[in-house]
Amino acid sequence: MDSQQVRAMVELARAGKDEGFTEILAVYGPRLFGYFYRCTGSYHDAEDLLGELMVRLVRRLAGYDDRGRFEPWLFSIAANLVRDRIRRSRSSPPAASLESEGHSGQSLAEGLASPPAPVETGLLAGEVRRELAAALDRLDERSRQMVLLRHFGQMSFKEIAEVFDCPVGTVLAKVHRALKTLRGLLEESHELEQ
Amino acid sequence: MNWNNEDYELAGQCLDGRPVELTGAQRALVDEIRSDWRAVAGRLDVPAPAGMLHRVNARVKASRPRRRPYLRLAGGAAAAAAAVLVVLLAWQKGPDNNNPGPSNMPNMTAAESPADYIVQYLMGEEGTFEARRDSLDEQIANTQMDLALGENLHYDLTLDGLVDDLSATEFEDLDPSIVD
Repeated sequence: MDSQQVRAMVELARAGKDEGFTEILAVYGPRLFGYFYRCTGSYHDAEDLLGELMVRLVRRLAGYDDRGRFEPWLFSIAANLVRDRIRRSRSSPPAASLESEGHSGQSLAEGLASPPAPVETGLLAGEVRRELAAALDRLDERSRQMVLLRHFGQMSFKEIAEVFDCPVGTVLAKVHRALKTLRGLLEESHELEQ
Repeated sequence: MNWNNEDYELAGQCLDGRPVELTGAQRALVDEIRSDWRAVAGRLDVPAPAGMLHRVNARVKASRPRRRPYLRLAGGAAAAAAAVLVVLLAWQKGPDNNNPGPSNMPNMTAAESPADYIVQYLMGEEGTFEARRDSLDEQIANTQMDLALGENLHYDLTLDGLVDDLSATEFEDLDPSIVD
């Protein structure tokens, strides 16, 4: 989708047209869902966060400066949502904590610390997901966010640096270390399987 | 290999697609990050559950304020009522001979009631013209009837009188198509 198509889509949504929001959801929804899922480890929380993001978007689109790229703007809102959710889940009593699939009563913070159970796919896919979730969990919060924003938001390192208010070099150093950790853990578990 | 902040800064700019000159060590850093990325990125993708986008879309639609037709109707009625009130107040205050109204205001005669005027006002320019034409038709019919019955004429049928009557209706700003 080129920048003119994105602009037309955003303008539609800004004008309050349902088609605009439907299109934004169709274009970015799957990747946003992936981002939220990798951040929370829960399908339910990922869908809930995506819904919350879209509802916020209805209000915030008026303030969007269309001289910038829409996608990083959208994902920076998503990153803030995740940070808020994690902060709240850590400070909330267990009754208010989020429920993760297959782990009734488990908080989001706990969900981040343990892999989600396999849901609709086979055992192998579930294993891979578990490994990856465990690997992602080994990362510190900022590093994980940086990797996920780069992958799902297709953000440049400069744009990620703006979200975290730090130099590009710091972002890349963290991403480099994170990728090394993830690759090492994934290869290790793959070797163990064989 | 150990890299410093400057190496990461320049490698980051290179990976963002900006034209930067890199040392051999910095190029090695870029290559290593690209290789690690390829090994990990494919595993990160998550298939969206069935119906997820529809459910989210329904939630967004439900959260958005809808335009309610009955509210718009009520708004229109309130605006019309306000206009009527303003006109009635102006009418009660009476005409100010020293400060004539705008030229597009219909010319009132003693025979016309405030209600007729308000109806004409709300009808707009075309309605005003039609109302005036009907009034003249009625006067002509009455005059013809009086003539036929041999009554004394109490209408001014001179050419000047007719011109005065017609000039009471303003043609200048009217659409020529409705004058025909």
